[in-house]
Parts: sequence; C-alpha cells; structure tokens
Amino acid sequence: MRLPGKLVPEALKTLGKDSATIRYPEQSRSMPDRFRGRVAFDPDGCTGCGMCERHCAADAIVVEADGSEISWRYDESACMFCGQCGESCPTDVITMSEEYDLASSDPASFETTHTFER
Amino acid sequence: MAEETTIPIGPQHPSLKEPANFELTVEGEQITGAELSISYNHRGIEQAVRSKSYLENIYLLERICGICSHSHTTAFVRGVEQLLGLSVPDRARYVRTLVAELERLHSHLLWLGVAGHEIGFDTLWQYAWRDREAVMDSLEELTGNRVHYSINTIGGVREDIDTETIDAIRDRMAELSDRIDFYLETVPAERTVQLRCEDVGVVSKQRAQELCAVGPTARASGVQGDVRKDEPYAAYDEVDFEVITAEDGDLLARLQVRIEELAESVAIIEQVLADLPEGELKASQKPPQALLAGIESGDVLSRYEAPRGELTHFIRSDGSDTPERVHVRVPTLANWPTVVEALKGSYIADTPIVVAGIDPCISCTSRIGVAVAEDEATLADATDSGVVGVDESGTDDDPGGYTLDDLREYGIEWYEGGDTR
Repeated sequence: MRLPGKLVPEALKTLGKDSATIRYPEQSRSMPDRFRGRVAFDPDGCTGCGMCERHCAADAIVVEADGSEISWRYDESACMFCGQCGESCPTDVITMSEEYDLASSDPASFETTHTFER
Repeated sequence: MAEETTIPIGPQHPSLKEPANFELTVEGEQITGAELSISYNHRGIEQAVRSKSYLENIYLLERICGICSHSHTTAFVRGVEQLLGLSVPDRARYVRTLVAELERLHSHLLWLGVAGHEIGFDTLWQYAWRDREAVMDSLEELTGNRVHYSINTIGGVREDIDTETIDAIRDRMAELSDRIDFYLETVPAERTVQLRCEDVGVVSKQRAQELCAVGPTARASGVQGDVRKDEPYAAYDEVDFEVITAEDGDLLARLQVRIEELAESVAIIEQVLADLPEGELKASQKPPQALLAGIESGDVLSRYEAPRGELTHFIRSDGSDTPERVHVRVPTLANWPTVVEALKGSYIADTPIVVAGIDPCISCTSRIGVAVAEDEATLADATDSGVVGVDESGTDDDPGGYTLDDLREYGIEWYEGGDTR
C-alpha cells in the first residue's frame, strides 16, 4: 500500500456505509416516474388504428379489427419495454406502468387480451 | 530454451464472460504468439434490421450492446436524420450529449471495476461499481431505464429534462468528481496496480496506428483520435473538453486515460447542464411513419465516439421505410488486433487483464458480412464488378465467394463434424 493515508480512511469510511443492495423480494425499491414497466392498456378510447402494433419492434402487440369489434392482444414475454407503443398511440390509451415483477412459470399469464366494441 | 507449446484460452470466459478464443504459443511462461478467433455469438442483428422499419430498428440496434446502447441509437438516428434532411433541435442535441457522457461514465467505471477484479484488486472493483450506481440512478431518472434508455428517436429525443433531475445530476456529479480525484491519486500509485499493469501489454504508437486502434486503447498509445473532436456531432462542438492521451501504451496508460476521461465527462456534463438551451425536443411533430415516407434513397455513414472508441453505422436506404442494409462496425473489432500485439511478450497470467485492457464487448463484435448470390452467374458478375469481396482462392473459372447452395453445404458439413472445432 503506497498511500496508507488515503486508503485506510477510505476503508474505514466504507465500513460505516449502509449496504448498497436491498433484501429483494422482501423489500422492493421505488421506481422513478419515467420507469417503463408492463404496458397498461385502457380499451376506453382505443380506436383500433393499430399504430402500436405497427411500431412495436418486438411484435408484442397484435390489434385485430373485425367489423365493429376490436381485439387488442399484448404478450409481455415478447415486450422489450421501449415505450414506443405509448408514444405512438394517438389517443393515449397505452401507458407504461410501474410493474416489473413479471416472472412467471405459467406462459399463459403473459398474454393479455382486450376485446371491445369500436 | 524451453519447449514451445500451444495453449488455448477460451472460448469460454477468456476474461470477461463472453466468448473469444486465443491460441497462445508460449515458451515457458512467456507468450510468443497469439491467434484470435471471434464470432462465437453471431446474433443476426444486421439481417433482422432489414425486416423492421427505421423506427423499430432504433430499439433493435440499441440491443446490440447493454453498455453502449445510447451509442448505437445515436449513431443510427444521426444517419437516418441525414437521409431525411432533418436538423435536430438544440435542446435535443444537448440531451443526447448528456446521456452519451453519462453512458461513458458508467462504462468507464464498469471497466475500472473489471480491471481491478482481473488484477486481483477486488476492493477497487467494489468501490468503482458502487460509484457507478450514482450514474445509473441519474440515467434511470432521466430516461426511465438503467440500461436501454430508448431516449433517441428520429429527429430528436423522447424525454425532456426537468430542473429537479438537473439538480440531482449536478449533486451526483459533484460527489463523483471527488471520487474521480481519489481514483486518479490512488489507483496509478497503488503497488498492486503497478505490478500488474506497468509495462504489461504494451502497444507502441506506431503499432496502434498501423493496427487502426480506436478510442481509449489508441489514445493510451499516444494516438490523437476522438470523433467528438474530429467530426463533432450532438453538442460536442459547443462544449470544452480535452482529448486525453498517454504515451506509454501499456495497461497503466489505458487505466490512466480512462480515469482522466471520467473527469472530462463530468466536466462536459456540467457544461451541458449549465448551457441547456430551451426549445423543442423533436425536429418535426409529424408522426414517424409520415416522416419516414419522405426518406431519400442513398448511403450514409455515421461516426460516433462510443466509450470504447469509434463506432460506425453504415445505412443504405432504398427509399422505403425499411433500410436495405445496415452495417455496424463496433470499436472492439478495431481494437482486437492490438490485443494480439499486446499478448506477445506478456506472461500467460496477464492474458485476462490484457484482453480486458481494450474493454472488449465481445458479442457486440460478432457480426459477419456474407454476400450471397442467387446462382453462379450472378456471383461471377458481382465478383467481377467488385460488388462483393472475392476470397483469395478465387480463379477465373471459379471466382470464389458463396452461393446460397454453397453456404448450405458448408453449414451441413460443419455440423456433421467435417470441422472438429
């Protein structure tokens, strides 16, 4: 150790610091406002224009319009949480939620489907 | 004289947890020759890019690298903006610069930790990574994510920065500045670091130039080269900073250059925050598909100074909303030859730190370009006109290169054990 005057105080200071990590999952951290978690969709206001599907690089959203009925399907296991769907939505019915604990052993749980009248 | 032996290092975990293989020729403990094999982790991103629109490709290309993700998106969107003739608003240019420098900070701090770990100085690793968290928190607050910021879009940025975030980043930068001073004072003077890094993995200025090294690796050998100065983009022509170089070209010089670059990045961030212009975030309020409808056909080459060195994106547009070709040259590819150079003369035990010395992003490099012709006749035409490269074994009768059928046959042979690798 060439610089004990620098390194020893640093080591002592570090000893007094709190742990930088938390006990997940018992504790969880709060997310910043802009955090992009699971996509949240509000069918009220959706026009079925399909922009979210068109701009989704991961093909996680499929919008099908059949006559007066619209079906909006989202696969969170394919989603890469870029938030472009929300940005492209002309009626702002897509938002990025704070949900991030998305692991599951049931593949069916990743799929969300909304079917509603146009 | 000791007997000459060949030993393989890698492809599993040669130093970082990514695949690359070195065949080292050794005499005793000393390395006399090295051969490098890469591309164990080809991901087909350049092919995938051709099936997505320019807008979707921002997010796809961002995922080339989990460390310099902003580098890839900025290089790409700058190319697309050039094709569209868009001029990016001032505020967006500043925000891009801010994220770019935060990214450089976290990348260099990550490397500092890795370098500490490779030389058995794990305390440095813990210190550096703890300090890095302040940068990651800033990035997360500003962009919404720690890794893939997704802040760039065609013609600008997606998120604005508010005064609260500016203050938070300023406070963190002030603290980080003290930490960088601490590293500058202690790390190069520390005995462990000196023993493992001084005069190890030396690449001379001349060799660095001949091997076309880029970024901190080249600058540590005394090569003045930084795209931020040579061909300024974003707001780099409006901020003051030094291009850090060193003369020795050894690992200690690379360490020194990177730590000093941390201080420069903090200085750039402070200037960006102080001079942040007001105004729009995007060049056009048109929806992306309307913007892309007006794209010109043509080729552009976009250069960017990523934390590891010069990154280039080549984009060929055919006038549709999907690129005809995107080719990415990552800085690690340019720096690999210097590793082979640096290994010669080093000890076997130095291999991990010499490899880690260029801060390699191994899987980002795995990108091969194969030009495929539909049949022998098109292949002959293409090779004659120089459109595709000709392998050296090519003759007049057999021009070399591959057709799809050739490639298929090659693939089957390879997997059936024709090649024992």
